Amino acid sequence: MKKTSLLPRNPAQETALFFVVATICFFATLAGMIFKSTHETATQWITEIDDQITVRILNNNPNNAEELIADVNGVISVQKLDRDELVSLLQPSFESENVTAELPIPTIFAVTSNASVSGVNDAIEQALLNRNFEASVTSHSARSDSIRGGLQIVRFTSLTIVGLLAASVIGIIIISTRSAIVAQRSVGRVLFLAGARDGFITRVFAFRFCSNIFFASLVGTLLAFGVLYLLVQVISNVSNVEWWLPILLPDLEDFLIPIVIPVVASLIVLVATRVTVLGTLKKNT
Amino acid sequence: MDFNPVIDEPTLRLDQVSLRFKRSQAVLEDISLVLEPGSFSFLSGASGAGKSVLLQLIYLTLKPTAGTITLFGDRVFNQSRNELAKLRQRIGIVFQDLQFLDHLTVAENAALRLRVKGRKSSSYTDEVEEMLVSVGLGKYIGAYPPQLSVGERQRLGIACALVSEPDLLIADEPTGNVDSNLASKLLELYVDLNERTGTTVLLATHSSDLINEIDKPVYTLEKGKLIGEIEESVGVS
Repeated sequence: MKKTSLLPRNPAQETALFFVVATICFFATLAGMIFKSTHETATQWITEIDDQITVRILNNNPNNAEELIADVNGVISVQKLDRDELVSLLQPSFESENVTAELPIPTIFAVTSNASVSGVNDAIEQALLNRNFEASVTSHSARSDSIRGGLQIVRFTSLTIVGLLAASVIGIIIISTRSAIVAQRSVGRVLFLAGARDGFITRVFAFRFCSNIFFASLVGTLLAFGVLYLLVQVISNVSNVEWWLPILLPDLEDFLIPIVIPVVASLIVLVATRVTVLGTLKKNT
Repeated sequence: MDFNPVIDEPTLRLDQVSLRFKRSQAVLEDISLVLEPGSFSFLSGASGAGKSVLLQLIYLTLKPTAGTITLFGDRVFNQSRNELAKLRQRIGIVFQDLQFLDHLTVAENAALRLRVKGRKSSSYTDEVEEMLVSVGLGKYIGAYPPQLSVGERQRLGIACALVSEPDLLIADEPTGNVDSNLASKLLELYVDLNERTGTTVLLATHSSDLINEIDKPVYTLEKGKLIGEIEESVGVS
């Protein structure tokens, strides 16, 4: 004898719920991925510029300045930029090559410091001053504050979107589960009269709803990854925006999302089903 | 081998059972009733006399406000919902308005009580088909409940209730929706099953014609009180 599911199919309701949950999970995954990528990139950027210092020496003959800077506590490396490098940096700002050839270009050092050591730029400035160098020391960390501010806005906005989408999907799951159970309460009644225990009846409903929601959220998250993949493919064909790629490429652990989201969604359904079915049974039997 | 005589407990014993819904008048008052194993009894009374409520008490879907119910030798008192479900699995119930799972076949509906007990479908296919044949539904095994007539649905209800070989079968107006001819046939089916399987049967009906067809004890309810027991309930040995 075949073993048909004890809960009849309701194609109209189940299909609608499937698309709603899949769509919300799609947007939640996309928003989450964009937040994560943006956050990681900005954090990495801040870390990079936090330890960068530019030292400009105006004296004509900055002998042993490089050694002086390197000896300062907290300095990791010092690189003197030669004139050709500096001219190539300045050239785009001038129309004529002759202008840059005649410019009095200062000596510039790119210094990498240990970001955990404080006051490195002051120490460099003091060391150079002691040897009568006319120098200006600029720490790039000043710019990281504005990036941090922007990052906070991105973080807050993304988390709000993800939170709202998550709350929506949870609400939809709970409401649809409850309405479906109410619509199928005759099944619960028949099973109850057949001597079924509460746990048995709950399992009948939970299995159906959990599997539906699991597949819906799985499809939604996989679609989001598919869209990201397509985006990467499209962008990689446009050479001048290749810097986007590291932002959008998902890490290995990101692929846990298509597992985590459906499992969490199924757990929510399980709890909602259990509470609703037991409540209905206790009320009506 | 030692011989241990088994003293059969009554299938059902109600001792001064009363039921009252909140502040309303008592729906059932001071009901005392004993059903011996294998007995066949009628529960009669006009509509609203309390027959259905009494059957719900026996099926443990309602709790009495006074008195005690003893089922299969166990006093029903503060059992958990799971323990009540276990006791309920020993009771078959047939209603006037039967509810089936319309997306399941007749055979799958009949097998429901075995399925909820956790039995594998391969282990009960034959006995379900035998049961359906015995109630005259052999040719409807693969059909669906909406395809059955009223009488056939009643037969399916009986098959559903009896397939798990319950110790007690209670039926609430099982012939209420059928003509007298079909009612007699259904009654024959209950009597036959009672005599063949020894299942205790309590059949609630307001039809005196049905009661007069066979010589069985009749418990009569009037306004929630048991006013008479025409004959002692006698077990089939």
